Amino acid sequence: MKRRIMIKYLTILIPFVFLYINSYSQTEEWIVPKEKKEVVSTFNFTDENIKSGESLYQKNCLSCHGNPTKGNFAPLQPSPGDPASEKFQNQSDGSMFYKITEGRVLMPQFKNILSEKERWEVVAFIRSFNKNYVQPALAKIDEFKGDAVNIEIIFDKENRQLIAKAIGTVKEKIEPVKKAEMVLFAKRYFGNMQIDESKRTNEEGMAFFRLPEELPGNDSGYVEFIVRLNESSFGDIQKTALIHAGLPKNMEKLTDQRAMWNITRKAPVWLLISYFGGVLFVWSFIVYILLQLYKLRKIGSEVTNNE
Amino acid sequence: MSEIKNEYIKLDKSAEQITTDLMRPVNLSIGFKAWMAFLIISLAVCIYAYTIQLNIGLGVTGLRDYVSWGMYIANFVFFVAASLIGMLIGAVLGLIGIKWITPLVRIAEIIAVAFAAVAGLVIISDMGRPERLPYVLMYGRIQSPILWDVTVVTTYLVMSLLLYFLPLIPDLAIGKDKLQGVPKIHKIIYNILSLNWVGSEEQIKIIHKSVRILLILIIPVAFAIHTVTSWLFAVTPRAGWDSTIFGPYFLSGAFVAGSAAVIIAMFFFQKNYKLKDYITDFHFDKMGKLLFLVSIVYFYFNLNEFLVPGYKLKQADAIHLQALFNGNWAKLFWATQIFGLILPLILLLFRKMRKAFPILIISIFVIAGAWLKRYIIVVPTQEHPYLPIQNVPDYFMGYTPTLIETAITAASIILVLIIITILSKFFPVIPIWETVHENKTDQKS
Repeated sequence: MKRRIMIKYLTILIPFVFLYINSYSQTEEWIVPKEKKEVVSTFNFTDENIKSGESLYQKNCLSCHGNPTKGNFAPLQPSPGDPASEKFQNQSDGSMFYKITEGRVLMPQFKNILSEKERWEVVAFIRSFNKNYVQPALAKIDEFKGDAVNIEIIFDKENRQLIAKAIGTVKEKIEPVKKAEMVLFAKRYFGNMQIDESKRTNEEGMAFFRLPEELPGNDSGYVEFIVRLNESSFGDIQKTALIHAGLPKNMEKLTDQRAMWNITRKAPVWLLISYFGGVLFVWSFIVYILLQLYKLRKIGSEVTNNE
Repeated sequence: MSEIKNEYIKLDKSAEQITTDLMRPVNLSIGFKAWMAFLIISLAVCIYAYTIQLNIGLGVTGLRDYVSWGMYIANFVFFVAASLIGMLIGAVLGLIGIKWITPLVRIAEIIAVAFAAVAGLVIISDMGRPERLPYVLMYGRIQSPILWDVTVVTTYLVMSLLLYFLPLIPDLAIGKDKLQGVPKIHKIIYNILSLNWVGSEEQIKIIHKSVRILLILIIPVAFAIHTVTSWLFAVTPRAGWDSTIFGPYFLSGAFVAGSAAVIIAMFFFQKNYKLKDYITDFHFDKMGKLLFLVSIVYFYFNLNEFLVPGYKLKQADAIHLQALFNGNWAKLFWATQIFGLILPLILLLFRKMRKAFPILIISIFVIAGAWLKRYIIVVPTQEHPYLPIQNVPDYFMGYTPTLIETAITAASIILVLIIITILSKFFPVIPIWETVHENKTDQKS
């Protein structure tokens, strides 16, 4: 009997213990995989990078992290912290980049929101508060033999798939970009939503993405797609296209109908009738009485004249 | 020389005597001149305060982001409230045939006109850019209670003016020959405004019919003016304002403030205009009973307004009520409720307390309480917004009216007194024609 109760209690307790440990580790430590720590930028941090990093920071990070060096970050748990603080600056560029990319708990994932270059620019901005910072040697880039890479997006309506074709120019000869990773996103209000999995291009430089059946589009059914070539050796390449591949989103606007919150022209009929009806009713009597007063005066003048 | 008969005072006086008595205060006495000089100098000082606000902006007041309605709006609500008494005495009591109100009707109507006229100006004083007032009509939304408020206050003012003016026409005709020691312009104004009144049957019929229409019509309009004023608050979901009984709550409170204002005015006119035979202890007793009636109704609404949310204690209400009952508003809240409502209620039960002087003192407490009550309704709610107050200096959290603000509020009260003084000094304050007429019919019967 006792044992059964014990087991019962333990089965209830154990998940909580794990939950506790889990949340503890989440709030206290953010472990970055070793190989990610060592990742370095592919370009030198210039003033220009820092500047665009700053504007990206203002837009995406400021609300929680506050102004660097001011320590006015939001009082959240786990604490966002001040990016100019020692704790932040003591980590490697790779760690910062990883954390921005992957996110955790309240820290959003930026891998679908900011491009790789943009994420590095944010790092550059954060580093600009550290006088002792010396940028480590740049990552080696496998030199691309071609001049330019272009991505062509084709919508295959029959099979409901999107075909992305990457073409590079090598020695003035057009060649497909083979075995490169491609990711497809649909643009949303905040950031981008990944569609299907990331794919590798085939021998013809093509990747095929299956589109969901009920993809919501704008009011005429268009969806803005973004295809990103996730191969740093080609640099930062992405292509957007507005394609009629979604369902028209016919959401009625809150201001379409007559409503209390609308402009006067679209005020509820009952209100217009009550207001103008009431005003007209009362003021017609007031006007009537003013006319009566005029009459009263006329009567008086007639009487005095007769006398 | 009078006796109580059929619930009103029958005067043992000839028509000639009554006319002389009631026209006597209409002159430019030294007392009047001194009083007007005092009022105008005070007003000038206060208007100087307003020029400062006009130049610098609303920053000179205690109003900030969170408490953006302060003394001005509380004062506005009080003015609208006080003006409703014209409807209660003239229309409600008049239409059900109560006779003793005859000498009080015009006093009530003067109070209605004065407060309603200045109420609009009080709103303008709360505007940082008063020159944009026409925008309310040009761009205002018909769905906004503020537009309704502007409409009904204007309508009520016009109707109150007519209700003041129409019964005055015969008096002007009677009085224009009796005027003594006044400038010529005074007589000319009487002549023009009396609209060739000769007292013919047709003219009497017109006046009777028009007054009757106005008396009936002013009841819904008066209800509308204060109900809409209460909706300025009640249509928001904020603790302390989010109430379905705000309309009747405001309305009943309005009659309390107005009755007290009439009693104070009655006392003043009785003493200064030597109208002891016309405004008697009998009238004070009756007004005392009326004040008791409206106060007990108001008390009942107070009970509902505070007990029901106080029992449920929804989170936001709890914070608000805590501030009123035990917190930083407790002293003002309980002082207002006890000295402005509960004690007067108890005292008014005694006949001795309904005599002229005691009831004057009670009314002063009631009217002060009524003003403070509006302040308690308007301000504390805004100190407890639903979203946390953040990223603002400490002094944004509360509200303390500044000296300039107080002076501008004082200006509005002075302006009300000036209007009351002028209307009661340039024209007879008790209806002559009706008093004579009623006295005659009574003598016949």
